[in-house]
Formats: sequence, C-alpha cells, structure tokens
Amino acid sequence: MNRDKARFILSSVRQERVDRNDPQVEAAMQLLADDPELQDWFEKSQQFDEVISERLAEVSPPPGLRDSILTGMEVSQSPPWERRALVSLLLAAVLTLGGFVSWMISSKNLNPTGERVATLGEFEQAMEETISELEGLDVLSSDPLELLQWLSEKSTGTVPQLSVAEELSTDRFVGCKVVKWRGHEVSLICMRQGKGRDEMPDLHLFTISADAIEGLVSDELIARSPETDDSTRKWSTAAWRSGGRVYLILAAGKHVEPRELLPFG
Amino acid sequence: MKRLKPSLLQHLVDEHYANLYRFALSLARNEAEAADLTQQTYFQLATRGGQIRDLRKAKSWLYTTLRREFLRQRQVSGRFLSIDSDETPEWETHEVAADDALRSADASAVMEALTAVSDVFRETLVLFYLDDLSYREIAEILEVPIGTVMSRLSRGKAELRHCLSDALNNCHSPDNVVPMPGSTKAGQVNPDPCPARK
Repeated sequence: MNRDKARFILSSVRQERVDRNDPQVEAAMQLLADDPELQDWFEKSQQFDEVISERLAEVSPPPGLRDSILTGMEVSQSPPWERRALVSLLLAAVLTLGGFVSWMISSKNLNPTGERVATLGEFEQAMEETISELEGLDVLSSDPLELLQWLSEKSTGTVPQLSVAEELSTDRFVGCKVVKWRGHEVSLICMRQGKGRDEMPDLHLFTISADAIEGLVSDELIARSPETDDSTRKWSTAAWRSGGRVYLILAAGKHVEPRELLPFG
Repeated sequence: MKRLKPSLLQHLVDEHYANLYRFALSLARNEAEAADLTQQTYFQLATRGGQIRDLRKAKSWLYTTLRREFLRQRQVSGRFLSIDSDETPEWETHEVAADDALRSADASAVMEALTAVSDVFRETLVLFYLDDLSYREIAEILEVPIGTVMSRLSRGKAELRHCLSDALNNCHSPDNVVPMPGSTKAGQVNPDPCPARK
C-alpha cells in the first residue's frame, strides 16, 4: 500500500469508530508509524473532522419538532376496531385472490408467488449480460464469511449454501451484490480464478430460488464450455440445483468442471 | 400489518430525530422542508416500521427512508450521480485557509460550507460527520459500494475545506449568511455560495 492509497482509506476513519477494525484500515494505520508526513497529515485530518462533527452537532432542530413527530405517529396508528375491520376485509380479498392465483398457475407459466418461471438458458444469458454491464458491487470484501453474512441479511432465499473452509485463500474473493431479475432476487459473488490481488474478477457464482427456473432436476449438473474456435462465447458455465436453490457459475475461459474452481471448502 | 410498540417508536425518535433533521437540512437546504422530511420519515416508521426484520437496522432504515423521500419529492434522482473521475478538480490546487482558521469556524460557517459542497459529496459527508453510522451503513443508505463512499469522502473533504475557507473569507457578508435554525432569517439557504465550483 502506498501513501496515496493510505490517505484515501484514512479519509474514511473517525476517532474511536468501529470502522478501524476493517483490514484495509488496519493496513493503512500501520503505515502511519513509519511515515511521519502521513502521520502529520492524518492528525490534522482528524482534528478537522472533529471540528466539523462538533459544529454539525450544534445545529438544533426547530423547537417542537420532536413533539410534532410523536403526535403525528400517534395519530397514524389507527384504533383497534378499525384494524379488526381491515383484517376482515383483507381476509376476504386474500381468499378471492387465492382462487384467482390458483387458476393463473394452472393456466400460465408462473410459480406460486406469481413470478414467471424461466429456462436455464434464459437465466444464463441474462446473467452473462449482467456481468458485462456490471458497474459496481454492493460489498467489496475478500472475506467469504462477511460476504455470506451480508447476503443472508439482504436476501435470505438466495444465500449460497456452501461451506467455507477454515484455511481458505481469501485472496480470491472480490465482493458480492444482489440483483433483481424478472421479479426474483439473485445473489452474485465475484471471485478470481488466480490469487493475484490485482487480477480482475473472472469467476462468478449466481444463486437464485429454484422456483424461478424450470426443467432442472436436483443435483443434475449442466456444464458447457466454449469451443476452441468459438470467439463469441467467453464463459464456461455450470448450473445445478440443490437445497431449493439453483446455482450458476460463469468462469472465463475453457473449463470442463467450473465447480472445481470455486474457492469454497 | 405488524406495528412497532409506542415505547420503541418514542425511543427511535429521541435517539435519532436530531441527526435525521441535520441530514435532511443538508439535503433540502431549507428548514421547513427538513422538518417536514423528518416528520414524513417517522410517519412511515409508524405505518411501515413492522417491516423492519432486524431492529438493529432501524437507524439505517430511517436514513434510507428520509433520503428516498427527499429524492421522491424532488424527482431528481438523476442529479445524484457517481463521481468516478480521477481528475484533480480545480479547487484542489487552490490554497485554503490555515488549519487554525478552519478550526475556529462556527456552526453557521460549517453549515454554509456543507450546503455549498456538491450534492453527491454533501450527503456522504454529512452522514460521515453525524458520527452515527459506520461507512458500511453509509454505503447501504446511499446504495453505493464502500469504495464509492471512500472516494466521495476523500474528494468531498477537499471540496469542503475549500468551501469552508470561502465561507470564512465571506463571513462578514450578510448575503452569504446561512440562516441557522432558531435565527431570525428563516427560509431558503443560499443555493451555491461556494465559488470554488464555478
């Protein structure tokens, strides 16, 4: 890490904040000890931040705003008898809708939640487009546990059910994201096939609810790799269904079994 | 729909309403609108707060809701663009006031400088300086990657220093005074008093 990168990271550090536990922040903080100029800059930067925080805290809300908020919230809570009437109405509506949805499912290509079911081919194509148009990730981290934790908070039904080995090479994880596709949430974990930290992510794992994809039997693996003379196809793919989820790997280059590339245990 | 208990709602008001108002003021640059945004946010908490699965996330939910409500009211979500350019802005090469002078700035000058900073940096800076959120939470509220938060902080602080320097230099000009809450000059804040960005 050089001085510029350290300054960039240290700009986000506040005194006695939990952010200091971040590995990148820790690495930048270690540089301070050996770099008096950087140390001086950091101390001045922290003093400046402290002044701004203190002055901002001096801005007072208008008198009466707190009471106004509390009164407004109280009024917005409807009385119990209104709630009971509402529940009855909702129950009737749900029963009517239930019959309608059952009819829709039997006559159209919809899953029980009313979202359209797609083929694996459509899913593969859409996810390849997602990667080619990807502008950023929701979380950048080399810690697979952190990525899985974030995904579990963001999108419970699409967290990959994969074990993480204790002595895992974390150099290969880049980050994750949750994307929407045809009304379904899809989790994405971006990784590298090699261990070079400067390499671009070239291995991607998508996870979607099995309800969203049709025609995939449990534990059946469907893998495809580009032909030698096929310049239009960049990715080797592998898809399988397990535990109520469909997994799809996109791996740059030609691979017979892309699952073996995954840096999970 | 499940609702939050009144005691919990009151706790969430007491704990966060002041900082939410400060964040709203930095977005709206107008006291009345900031107060309305804060009220609207808590109204939504009262009616839809039952959707919050993890109450530890209630604070982030409040900031996210307030920001979305602001964007919805303005219908200017397109104005909030990511700044990815690595070019050094012109103002970064200018001299700014000495640190001692910057430290002597009062709340009015700081607020004036913050309201003059570019929109895209201002919301990140204010969330950072409220000192209430980790940068991971800030990234979630702004719906951007952590790297973008760091970039906006690094560049935004440089712009803030310059704007603060300008605010201090112009502190005797009555036209540039930002009406602070409780002051007699309520109303619209000077929309762009920072000549650094012109």
